[in-house]
Formats: sequence, C-alpha cells, structure tokens
Amino acid sequence: MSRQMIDLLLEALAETLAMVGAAGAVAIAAGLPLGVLLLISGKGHILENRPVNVVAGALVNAVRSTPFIILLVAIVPLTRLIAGTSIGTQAAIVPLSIAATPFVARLFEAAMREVDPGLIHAAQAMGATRLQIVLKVLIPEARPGLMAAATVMLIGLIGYSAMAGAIGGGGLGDLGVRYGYQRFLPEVMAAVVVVLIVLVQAVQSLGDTLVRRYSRR
Amino acid sequence: MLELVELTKVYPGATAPVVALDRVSLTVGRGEIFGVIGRSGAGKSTLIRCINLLERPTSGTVRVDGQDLASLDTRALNAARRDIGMVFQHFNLLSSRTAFDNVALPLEIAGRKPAEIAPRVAELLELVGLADEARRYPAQLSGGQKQRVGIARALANRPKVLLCDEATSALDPETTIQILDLVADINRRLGVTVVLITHEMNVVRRIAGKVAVLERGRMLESGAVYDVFTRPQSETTRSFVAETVGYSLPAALRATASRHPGVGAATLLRVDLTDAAAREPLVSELSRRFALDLNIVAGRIDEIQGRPFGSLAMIAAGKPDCIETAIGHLRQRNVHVEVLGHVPADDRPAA
Repeated sequence: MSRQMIDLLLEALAETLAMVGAAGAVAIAAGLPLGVLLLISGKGHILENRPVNVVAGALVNAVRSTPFIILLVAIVPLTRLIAGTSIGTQAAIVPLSIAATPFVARLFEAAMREVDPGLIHAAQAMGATRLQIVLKVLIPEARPGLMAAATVMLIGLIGYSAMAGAIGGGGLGDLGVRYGYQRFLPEVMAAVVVVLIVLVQAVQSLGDTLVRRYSRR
Repeated sequence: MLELVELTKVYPGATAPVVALDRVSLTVGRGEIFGVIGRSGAGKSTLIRCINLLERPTSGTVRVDGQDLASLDTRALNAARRDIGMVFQHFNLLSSRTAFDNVALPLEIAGRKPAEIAPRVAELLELVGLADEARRYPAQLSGGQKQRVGIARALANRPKVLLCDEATSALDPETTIQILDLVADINRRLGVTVVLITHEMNVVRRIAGKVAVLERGRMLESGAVYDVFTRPQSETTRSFVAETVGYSLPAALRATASRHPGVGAATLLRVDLTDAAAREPLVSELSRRFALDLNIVAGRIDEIQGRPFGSLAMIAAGKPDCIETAIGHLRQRNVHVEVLGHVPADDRPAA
C-alpha cells in the first residue's frame, strides 16, 4: 500500500476516533441522567411519575426506531444550529450523539435495574435523599454494568460512524466506501476492515478490563 | 420510646384487598429488647417496615421518641430515620464498598465530614469485632461478618432504636447465637432500644425481654417473654413454645392413656415447671408425702431469660385418692398439672 494510502487511512482513523470519542462522551453524559430518569420514574421506584416515565420512554423509543442514515439527514437544521455547519466530522458528531444517547440510556437503565432493591431500602432507612440514593447506591453498585453498557454503545457508534460519510463526516467507513468500493481498490477496503476489527477488539477488551476491575460481587 | 397505635396496613390485592396488619398496638420502653414473633406471612416484616415508614401504614400512628413520623415532611422524616438503625436479613451491604465504606455510608448520608467519619467507623468496626476486616469487600466476608458490618452500619448515627428484620434468619445456628449476643451486648452497653422480628422462638428466648405474637396481621398476645411463653393464651404461641420445650410422649403410652381418661392407679400427668416449681424437689416431695411411685416418661427443662421453664410427663402410681390429693396440692401451689389419663394394669403397653 502506498505511503499516500497509509496517510489517508490514518487520517480516517483519526476522524473516526474523534467522532466516536466526542459522540460517546456526549451520550454517556446525557444518557446516564436519562437512564436514571427512566428507571426511577418507573412504577414503584423512588421518583414514581407515570407521565414523565411514559414521555421519556416514548422519546427514547422514537429516536431508537429512526434508522441512523435517516436521522443523519433529518436533523440537519439542528446540526447546523449546534455545530455551525451541516457537513464535516464536527457536524457528524451531533446526529451520532443523538442516536447514541437514548440507546445507551436504555442500557444504563437495565444495568441499574439489576441493583438489589434491598440496597435502596437500606439507604432509605438511613434517611438518604433520592439524589443520594442515585449517586451513592444506584450508580456505584451498577458500575460494572454501566461500563459494559458504555462499551456496547461505543462499538455501536463505530458502526454508525461509517455512515457519517453521507454528510461528509469522513472516517474509516467513508474511506472504505469511496476508495475501496467506488474506486475499486479492494486493498483499501481490506485495510479499513482490518483497522475497524482491531479498533472494536481494543474497545471491547478495555471495557471488559474495566468491568472486571470494578466487579466486587 | 416507641409506640404503635392501631397500626393497619392494607395492600390492594389481585382479587380482594390484603390486610397485612390489623390494628396492631404496642409500646416499647427505652432500652428494651422487644421481639415480634410470627410465622411467615404474619405481617412481621410489614410491621417493622412501618416503624421507619419504609411502608406507609394505611391507618394508625407510629411514634418514635414522642414524634409522630407520618406527620413529618421528607426532610424531617430523613432526619428522624437517622435515629432508627435497621439491620436486614440479607444484610443489604453495598457490594462496591469495603466494610469500612459500608459503615461510613450512613455518616456520609448524614453529611458528616470525612475527618469525623474515619474515627467513628473505626470505633464501630472495633465494637462489632471487625477491625481487621475493614478493607475487605462484602463478597470476601462470611455471613456472620456481613451481619456485623450491617450492625455497625445501623449504629453509625447513634440511633435510639435498632430495628432487626430477621437479622439472623440467613445465618447458621452458631453464628445466630454470636450475632444475638452481640445485639444484646450493644443493647446493654449503648442503651439502644431494640425491636426484632423473627420466626424463631430461640431468638426471642435468648435476648428479648418482651414479646408480641403476630398472626395474620393481628397481635395475639404480648408481654414479658417469660409470662407469654409460660402461660400461652393462643394456639400459635403454644406451638412456638413447643418448638423449644417440646417433647413427644411415647405414642403407645399416649394412646393407652387417652383410652382411659381420669385418674387411676397409674396416672399419666403432665406437670409444667415454671419458676418455683422447677427449683423445688417436686418429684421426691410428691413421692414422700403422698406415697406415690413417680416414673418420669418424658420431659424437658429449658431456660427463658435465665429462669427455668419446662414440663415433665410422668406416671404416678399409688392409691387413686392419693394421686387426686397430690394433684390438688400442686394446683394449690400454682403448678399447672394436666391429667392425660390413666394406664390400667391390663392395658399397659409393653415398655
């Protein structure tokens, strides 16, 4: 493979990492409170509120039902408002974040649901506020599950980011489509696939290590 | 210290409402160890969870140290809950925190500073005998050690009341005794009022001073443990008593006696031994004074609160009128005697 191709590959990898990293960070930051809300507004939980639970759940489901390639173009005005532009790597971060947030929120909700209700009762018996229960019991106790959820989400984002080429986002997927497919350069396609496999493996291994490290059960 | 008035809890059931607690009233004095005993489904858990309002009673009042908990707003209730420690059957320790950090949790929740928390936690772990296990996680501790952490945690905010929700039910008999002795020791040393619920007679017998017997949401009887268990009023209480001081008569003998009710030349008696009766040389006295031959066929004597408590089954052989007199003599001295029947010579089971 030519020097030029390697440079293109490295550039595309950097773009993918930037998109996945930024969107992943936004999704974790926004998905955790959303996941907490989905859980604790549920029936019999510490902030039971049916209207909130139904609306939040419907919103999450709606975004998750929209195919990413459609979401990508459907929210262009919003993207322009937030990123200042509707094309490029920076612009792609907006739809990626919006797609990943409800996805990871559901996974976070499921992870925190696994926390023994007895621990919540114990905290209530100690006079804990709801915020204290969330911060000192639910999140720390679910930490291994939350990390596993974040890992799944990041790997999903790597896949989604391949579609970012549709709005000029660049990245490995875009490189594979433009050079490997449209210019008939199978060695570029192969290189892209290999790099993606290595990337996914690395993220998964890192995630597994963190999950193990924080599992105390 | 603790007063429950006409406490009622009704759950909306699938078909009909379920009454978990039916107008239960009880008073627990400062520094007492109060046991609530009942079979599963009797409403014990609901009762103890109503004390710190983990469950809201449908009606009735819960007063802790004179304060009506249901009248408090969330903030005041949380403050009041810090005065009520709770120990759970399944420990409910945070798996992500070490023993030390688990004990620190209620102090963090109460907003104490780290500089205050560390010495207090060390003191508490010392109190429950776990100073060397501070850095271990719950998964690395035995059941008894976990419950010690649970007890230290419950005591962290120096509560006035300690609630024990089946605190020893997940432990083996030996560990149960150690944990009960620890609770009794803490009760003596710190003067904390203890309410414990259990389905085990041995738990109540070992450490409680007062007891209430609960069945299907109703309180059957309550009072000093010794009185309740030596003079049981209800079938449920009797069955609990039978668990510890129970024994069974040889079946053939009981069958023969029940075929021949009343007193005869050889009469099968059951004599309850409580207090004075257990301390006196009852058998030899009866034997000498009434010229009876007494043959003990079954019996068991135990202790409640350090006081002897038990019963003996014996065959009294002699003149029937002497036996009658002897029974009268015992009854006059407040000894409970039950005539189970007599055993005629020609119907005596092969011994």
